[in-house]
Amino acid sequence: MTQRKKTLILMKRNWVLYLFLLPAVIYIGTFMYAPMYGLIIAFKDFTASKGIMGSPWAGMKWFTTFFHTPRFWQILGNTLAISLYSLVVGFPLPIILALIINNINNLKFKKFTQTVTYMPYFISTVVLVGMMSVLFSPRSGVINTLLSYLGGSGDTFFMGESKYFRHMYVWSGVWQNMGWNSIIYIAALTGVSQELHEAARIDGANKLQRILHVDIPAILPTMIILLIMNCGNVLSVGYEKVYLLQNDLNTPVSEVISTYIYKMGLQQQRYSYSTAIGLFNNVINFLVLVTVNKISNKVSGTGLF
Amino acid sequence: MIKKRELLKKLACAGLTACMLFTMIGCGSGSSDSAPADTTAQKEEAPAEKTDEAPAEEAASEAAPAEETSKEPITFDIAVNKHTHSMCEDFNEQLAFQMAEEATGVHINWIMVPAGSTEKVNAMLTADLPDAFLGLISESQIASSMDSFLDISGMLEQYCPHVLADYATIDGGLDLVTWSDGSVRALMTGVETSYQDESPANLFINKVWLDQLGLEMPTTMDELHDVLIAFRDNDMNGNGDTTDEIPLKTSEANWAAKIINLANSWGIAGYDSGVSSHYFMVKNGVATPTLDTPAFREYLEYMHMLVEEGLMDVESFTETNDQFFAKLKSGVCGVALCFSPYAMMPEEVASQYEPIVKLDVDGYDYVKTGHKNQLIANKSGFAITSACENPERLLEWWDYLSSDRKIKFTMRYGEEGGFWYEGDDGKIYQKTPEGLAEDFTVDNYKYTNGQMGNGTLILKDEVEIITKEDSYSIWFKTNTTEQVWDMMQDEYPPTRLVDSAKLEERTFMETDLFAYIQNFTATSILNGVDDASWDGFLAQLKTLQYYDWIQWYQDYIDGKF
Amino acid sequence: MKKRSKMQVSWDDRVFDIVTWAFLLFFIVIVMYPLYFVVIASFSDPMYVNNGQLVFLPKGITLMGYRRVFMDKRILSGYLNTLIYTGCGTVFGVCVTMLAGYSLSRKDLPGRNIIMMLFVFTMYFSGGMIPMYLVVKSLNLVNTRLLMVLLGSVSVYNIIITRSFLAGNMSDDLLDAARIDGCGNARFFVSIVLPLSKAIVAVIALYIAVVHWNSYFNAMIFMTDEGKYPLQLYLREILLSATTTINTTTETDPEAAMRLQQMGQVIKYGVIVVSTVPIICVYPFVQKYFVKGVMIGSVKG
Repeated sequence: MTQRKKTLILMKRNWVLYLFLLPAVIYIGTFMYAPMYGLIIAFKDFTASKGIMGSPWAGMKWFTTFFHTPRFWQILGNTLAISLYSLVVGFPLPIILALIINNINNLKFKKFTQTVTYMPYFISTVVLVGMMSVLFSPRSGVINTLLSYLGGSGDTFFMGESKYFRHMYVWSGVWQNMGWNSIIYIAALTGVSQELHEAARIDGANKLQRILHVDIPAILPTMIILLIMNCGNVLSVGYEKVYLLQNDLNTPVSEVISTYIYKMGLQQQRYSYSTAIGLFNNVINFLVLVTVNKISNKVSGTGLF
Repeated sequence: MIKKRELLKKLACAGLTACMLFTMIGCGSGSSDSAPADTTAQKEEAPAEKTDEAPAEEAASEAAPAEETSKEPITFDIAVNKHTHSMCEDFNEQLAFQMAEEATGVHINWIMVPAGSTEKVNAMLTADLPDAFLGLISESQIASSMDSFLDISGMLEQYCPHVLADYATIDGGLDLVTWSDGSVRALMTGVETSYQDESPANLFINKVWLDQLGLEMPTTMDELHDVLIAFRDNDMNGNGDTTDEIPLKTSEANWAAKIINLANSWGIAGYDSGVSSHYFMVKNGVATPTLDTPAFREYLEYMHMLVEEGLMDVESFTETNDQFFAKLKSGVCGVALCFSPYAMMPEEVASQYEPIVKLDVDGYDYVKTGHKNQLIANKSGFAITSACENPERLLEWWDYLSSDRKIKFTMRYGEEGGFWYEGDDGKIYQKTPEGLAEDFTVDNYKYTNGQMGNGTLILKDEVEIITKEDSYSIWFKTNTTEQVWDMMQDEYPPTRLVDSAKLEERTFMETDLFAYIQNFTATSILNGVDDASWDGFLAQLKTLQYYDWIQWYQDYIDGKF
Repeated sequence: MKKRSKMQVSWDDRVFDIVTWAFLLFFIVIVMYPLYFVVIASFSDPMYVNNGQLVFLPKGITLMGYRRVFMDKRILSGYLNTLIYTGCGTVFGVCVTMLAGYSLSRKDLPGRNIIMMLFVFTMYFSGGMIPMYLVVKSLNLVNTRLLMVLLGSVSVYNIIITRSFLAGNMSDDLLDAARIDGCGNARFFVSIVLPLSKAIVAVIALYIAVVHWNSYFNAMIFMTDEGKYPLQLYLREILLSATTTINTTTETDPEAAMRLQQMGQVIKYGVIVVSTVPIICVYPFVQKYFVKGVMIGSVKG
């Protein structure tokens, strides 16, 4: 049988599966692919009155403008630093949390822990940053009071000194998202067969060993998929929180691509420019994703496509 | 088992419904487009009833326009900014619009856009133009999308005689709203000037504390320094703690508390509350840089000294506006830079403060940040779009709303006798309206019954008189402005519309330049300036096009565009 | 049973337990305090909150925040709308996601990598708001409830998660066995796959529900009828006051704006409580399916 025939047979046999896919395809086609032609405004001089198609072409003008920005490398560097730091800290911690929660025997305490850790996710960024500003205040903040009891100076300027900016950003993100991000792993862990656990216990494996050899392999595919997707966000640092944490003192480390898009493009209705920067951003992101995916496919046999 | 099977059935059903939902969207719009059509039909009917009920106020007959010719009903869609304070669900409930409909036959279908929906406005601009925008469009939006708005310059004479007559009384006249190609794309809203706001930020000192220490009101920066030290070292608020007082409070989070205002003592002043308006000054028609001067450096050094000695709150650079409010309210600030104590603090705290009029520094002339007779009308307030098929009628409607002082105030604040009344001397006065409650404040009243800043233009001479008894807080601010008025600049960049290419040229320089300057200013105040950092600053100004930026303003002043 | 397992606890397991408990307790305290702070702040005078004078107990107790939020009639219609959008959107989204996720998890589906690639592509490239608006307008969906249900219901991220979960949990043997029994794809999905993947259905449902619950942007762009506003858009409108920008180049009524800002401070924390409590209550229902999965496993063992 030739490869083609085989494929045809498979397609015929699984026609129902294509039907299953249809709703998603229609949805994505309508709401994602149909508007996608809007990307061309990155290569145009867009004005609202002329519309997307009617605006004159600008070629690569906006891209070169961005690359020649005096702060281009600084902004790119800041973005990479923040997102890599977030990845290194923010990726493994939810997994650890999920494994620990999964190991709790007391059902009530288990539920309690899950619920509590997941709640911070719902606090809006504005309030989160406002709270950080109050709690970390060098004048009257709880954190500094606590630090002074522990022998610290008690007037550390967490929100002002630029050397703290990345830590503040990343760890507040961990605080907010760790519980939420662990949910998917907790769900994945329910699929672990108890027989394997039992067998390992009989073999004399302790808890840590069972986690390493039973639990982790079970959630490895999920981990890899999420890692690949996280890598594909290497240039996307969300704009809102950075923007709110930004002040005159920390701009040299806190200006990232998304805040720059906001200030340069959206605030001043320069749609073509902001679309161009966004496009550049996502081309890089997508390339990283495809590369990481390829590596993963080779190394672990798991990948997105 | 049975339960399970039932569950499966349910799931299958849900799946089916999902697929059906899809066909609904896929196959079209048939079902969904009837709904909006219905609502518009209803809306068109509703007002007819309303106008019948509307009490035919004398004002309506008084102000009725001369032409009675074009009274056949017509409906326009106007997208309008809905203020957060407004509890009005449909602006057709407002008296001014009922009167206008009566007089001109023009019915408005209001598209209410809540505050802060810039994205929505941008989407509408490209994809869904209404007949007009009221209070939603900025000058730069018109500049960058000129053809979306109708050039009404040719129609004004015929259809907007009252508006033209009003503009003729303003310095600059119709030119204020005319673009470089000679077109007029929008009409002004709001008030022409607002005296009490002309000096945005002022220094206020706690007079009670000053008296406690037996100190004189400071008149120079050196004296201020001494007073601040005394505030720092004593337990001024008497709570047994000498460390909780903040001798000098400024804040970068608040629009009227930015530390740059203190540079006034070194002769550096801005023409509005924005930080960047301090970056150059117009002197004898020349845009003069301020940042590369010894004065600016001395200002930075003085501020750094205050930080070093613990006289200033370093959190000023990072705090939120909420924190700023809280610090002021709790009465721990000795000297505070703000709009007005009464706007920021409870009355018993605010009454302790008095304005510091002037603080001199040897060798410099004090200049106050502010703008005398500043035109604060919104020059892009009412903009008719190219989608409007019958702009003449809409302009007539607008002209009716501008036709006399009373209708203007009705559009601004609601009916006469509510928030405003005409005194025996023929002037307009403010009063406290009836029916206020905790959940319906005076702000709610004004924004629910009137358009406030989106109303038709109110001229300088028409503005209502606010007495000390009516609103002490506004009176206090007016009084403060009076005291500093003479020290404000006399020269400003002109207020002229700039086309988009030129505007672009300037704003492109600004993002990077301003970010750098603000960072340098803040770090210098916190950590000090030395010769090396100062020279670095001067060099960076050049690379970041500071002088090109000033040249842009020079060309603007010279009328080159 | 319990006694025996306790006796079996070995030395290294005890160390492991202590370490994990210490970590958990530390983390719980760190998470709990700010949450507690939000709650007490919602009852307190904002002056104390923002001055850092609020540590363990509410200070200057006031119900202003809650009063302001509940005073408005619109909050009820907001809640109702959000419930409708979230409910319908979640059902719809879960159906689409599960169907697509399952199909894509099947290794014997020709073309699945291409489809996957096309899906993933949309995670990175989108045309922006204006063409989106034009598409929605051409479908006559502007200002319809249907649109609010649809938008945000299907996300590629969720499809990927579902796909990888199902790929890991549904063994090929199971499918082969079913096929020999004459079970077709549709029946296999309904009677085998779905019952075995309650955990992922729960997770996806939670993800979609939360997105719906928190979304305001689409409503802001596409809805013109206040009666159809979801809760979050309305709350945002109240909250926005705190960020109102004032300048003096056009008339902005500084005093009113400042009063608005002060009001914003009072209600900020109350709004968080009001808008979060209902969605937090959803979690226990989701949890039920996680635990059950484990229990089924352990019963078998």
